[in-house]
Amino acid sequence: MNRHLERLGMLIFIGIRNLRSQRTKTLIVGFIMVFGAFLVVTTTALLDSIEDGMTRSITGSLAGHLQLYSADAEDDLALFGGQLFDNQNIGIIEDFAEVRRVVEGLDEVEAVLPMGLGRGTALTSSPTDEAIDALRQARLEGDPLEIEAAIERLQQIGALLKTEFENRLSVASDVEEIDRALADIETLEDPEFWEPLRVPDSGDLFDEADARDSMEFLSTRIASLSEDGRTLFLRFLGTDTGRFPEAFDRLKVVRGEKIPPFERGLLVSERTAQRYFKNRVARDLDAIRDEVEGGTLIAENPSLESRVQALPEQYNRVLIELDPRGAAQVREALQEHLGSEDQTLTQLLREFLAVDDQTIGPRHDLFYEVIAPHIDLYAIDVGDTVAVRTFTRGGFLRAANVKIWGTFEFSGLEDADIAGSAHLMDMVTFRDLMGVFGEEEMAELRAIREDVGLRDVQRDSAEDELFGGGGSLVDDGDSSVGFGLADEAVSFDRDRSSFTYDQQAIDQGIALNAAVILRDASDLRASQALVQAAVDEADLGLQVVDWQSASGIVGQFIAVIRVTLFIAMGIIFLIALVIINNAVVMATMERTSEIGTLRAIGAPRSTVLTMILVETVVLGVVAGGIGAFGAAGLLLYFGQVGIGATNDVLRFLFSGPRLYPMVTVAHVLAGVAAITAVGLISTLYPARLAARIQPVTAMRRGE
Amino acid sequence: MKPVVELASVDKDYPLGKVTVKALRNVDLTFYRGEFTTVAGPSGSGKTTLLNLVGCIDVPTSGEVRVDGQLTSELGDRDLTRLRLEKLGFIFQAFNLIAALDLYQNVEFPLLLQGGMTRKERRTRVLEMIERVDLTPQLRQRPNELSGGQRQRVAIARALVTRPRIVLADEPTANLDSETGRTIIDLMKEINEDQETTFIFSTHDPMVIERAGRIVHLRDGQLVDEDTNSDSGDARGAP
Repeated sequence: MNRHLERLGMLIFIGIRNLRSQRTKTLIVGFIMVFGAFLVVTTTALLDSIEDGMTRSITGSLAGHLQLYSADAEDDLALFGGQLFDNQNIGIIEDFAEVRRVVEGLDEVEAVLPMGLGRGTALTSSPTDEAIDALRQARLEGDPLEIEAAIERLQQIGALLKTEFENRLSVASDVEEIDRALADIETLEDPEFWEPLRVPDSGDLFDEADARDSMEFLSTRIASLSEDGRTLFLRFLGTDTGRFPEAFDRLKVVRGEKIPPFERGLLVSERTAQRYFKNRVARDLDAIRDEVEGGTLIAENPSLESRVQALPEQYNRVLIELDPRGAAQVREALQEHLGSEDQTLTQLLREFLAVDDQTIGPRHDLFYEVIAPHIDLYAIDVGDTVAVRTFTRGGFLRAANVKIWGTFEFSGLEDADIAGSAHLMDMVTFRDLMGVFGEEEMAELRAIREDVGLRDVQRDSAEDELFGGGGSLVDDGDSSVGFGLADEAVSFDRDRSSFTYDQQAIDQGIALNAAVILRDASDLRASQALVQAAVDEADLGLQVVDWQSASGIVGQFIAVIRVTLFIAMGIIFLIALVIINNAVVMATMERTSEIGTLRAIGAPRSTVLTMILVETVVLGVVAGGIGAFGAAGLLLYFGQVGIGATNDVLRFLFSGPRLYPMVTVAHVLAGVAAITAVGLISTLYPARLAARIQPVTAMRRGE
Repeated sequence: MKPVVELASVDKDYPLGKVTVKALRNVDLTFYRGEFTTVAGPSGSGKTTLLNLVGCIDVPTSGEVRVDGQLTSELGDRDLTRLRLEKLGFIFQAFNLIAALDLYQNVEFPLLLQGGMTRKERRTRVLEMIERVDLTPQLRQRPNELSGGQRQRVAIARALVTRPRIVLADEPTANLDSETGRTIIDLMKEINEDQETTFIFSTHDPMVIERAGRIVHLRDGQLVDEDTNSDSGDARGAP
């Protein structure tokens, strides 16, 4: 043993000396090794940091550590699956209460939450509708000032519509329809039209006849011309909204408040609100301001430039929202800001919205200061109650009025569309909207369908829901009992948005999937097996998956990046392999005589082989060490100052605006080991060549 | 007299392009313990080939070579290497020291390969050997800091440190001036006499031939003549 060590010591010594004497080779191979180790350490450390952050973001936002769903599911669960796989069928957890009892009974489990992803729509009212409502309300209340204001606003809307339709006339092919619309709009210019509306609603049927005609004209002919009422598409995650904030620490309420325990409601994704629910002008101003503040010049970025150019033409979206008082205040503020006196509000707004690199900042601020308070900034906003409509899997339309309590974001996923697009909904409303049926109900439905015919059932159901009637087909009678909901929750209530329930109502019923929060997630595999064993024993028919596979695309994202980077690194290593191999072969050839001498004086082949390999190991450790520690130093520096995310993808990857990478001893060792291994592999061939050098070569002269 | 190396009907052919060079032809030759023998002959006469065969770094095409009783053609690379390490010492024309190692380490290296000695024993042996070649002051110098004569003395020390039966020296004085060459040969002769080590040289240096106890003449790969130098003699004494 001792003898081998001493011999090895001598070989290392020879190796170091040779590295110094064969400088060119040492520099080439050494540089590659420094670079390689640097690459390995930075890549693995960055990936691990990103993965850590993403793990925290994903497990702490929606996924939990494990997810449970039906073992018979047709599709894989994809929590962040995005729009692509929205129609996934992941089956049903029939009895969540039992699942919770069994799984929360395990010591390792902190909490189990019911979940279910659904889709629906919400229809928002147009400014015209609101103005008509305001007029109706003012007349009922008999406030002359309010009546005048409402009429004035409607007239203003009429003027806007007129401009719009006149513009359309010049480009449209269906002139007839537009002419008809223009004729309707011109009716509004007739003072006679407004006369009956200027007085408070008397309640007398006869007196009100003219007023009713005018109101009906407004509601049917004018309101339909305005296209601003929008259908918003909603993705929502039904869950135990009371326990959710506790279980998922990444949840952050941005505006409004959390859904109070046992209340129905919706917590809207802040990102979705900003991106899709916000007034178009406000959105554009935000986006342009962000880009310009980020250092982009408008002229430099074509898409930004076209956005800026289109902005003044969006003045309508502000104008139509303003009531006369608001309009007056905005006019005054804009005149002052723009330093002009005699312009109409339309011209003022157009001028105001013609922003450039310098003016965008102050105008953005002024917009929020002066204009925003007078308009509906969000199509649906905190405090609103919206009618959410869904189609059940059976094809039935269901609807529920849902109060919006606030908006939220998940820390680290603020900028991730894919994760932020779902709103949070209480479980009870979710079950109402999903109308997912158990076996029994489906059988009953089939019977009904055969009885009545499919068409009838659909229409009946749709009408009931649309007009908030006394209950849909499925809600009648006892057909919902199979869900196991508490009685109060099942019975249909007109104003479900204000309805409260209890914990039993949350737990007893269906869920689509369930999130498991572990007390200690360090050994995910073991915990997964444990939970699987527990649900199997209880015969719940569920499968248990870890957060990564449950997350869908997002969960695989890191794995994909890792594989891609490793392949790239593999290619770089392959090139390094060839270069190192060549360099060492050439260096070895230079030493033929020396190696022959060693062989002649009695060094076995193995010693020669070891000598060449040892040299590479020495170089690998030294050069790899330099590269690895260099990388570690750089990473430590960035660990302090952070790496800025310059776009949405990076912000998503970094789980925030900056990534603070972490580097560990393991990363450094891995870097040195990897590059030494690559060195060793590339030296195998030259080392074998060297070992085959014949001792006879020592006898050749002239060297 | 005890034979240490025996060659019987040895042929050695080398392929050289399309032709075959017959480097040695039907050589029968025995070297005895303690001999101080010179293999003489013009270039291409087969001197080095003969040394390669005796030195176990090559095997004959036909015929038998026995080194210390072992038939080399029957040994594999591992055993031949072992045989070289245990029984043979080499001195090369170009000295062939390991450039990376200093004087002491060069001499120590074969002992490390052999193993079986403590560090202390090894040190004693190496220092003794260096003392013998009179290089103690240069102990930590590296080959490129030494003169040609000094280097060849290091080579001698390295060849002898394992106390081999046979020392092979391929033109040991060819790269030295005559004065230095003479000292080197004298040194080898001294050791030959002290330790009964068999020395086999190849050379065309008359000074070396003059000092040899036995001279083997080769021409065109064949043994042409053999004589002894009565005035110089060798360790086994004049016959």
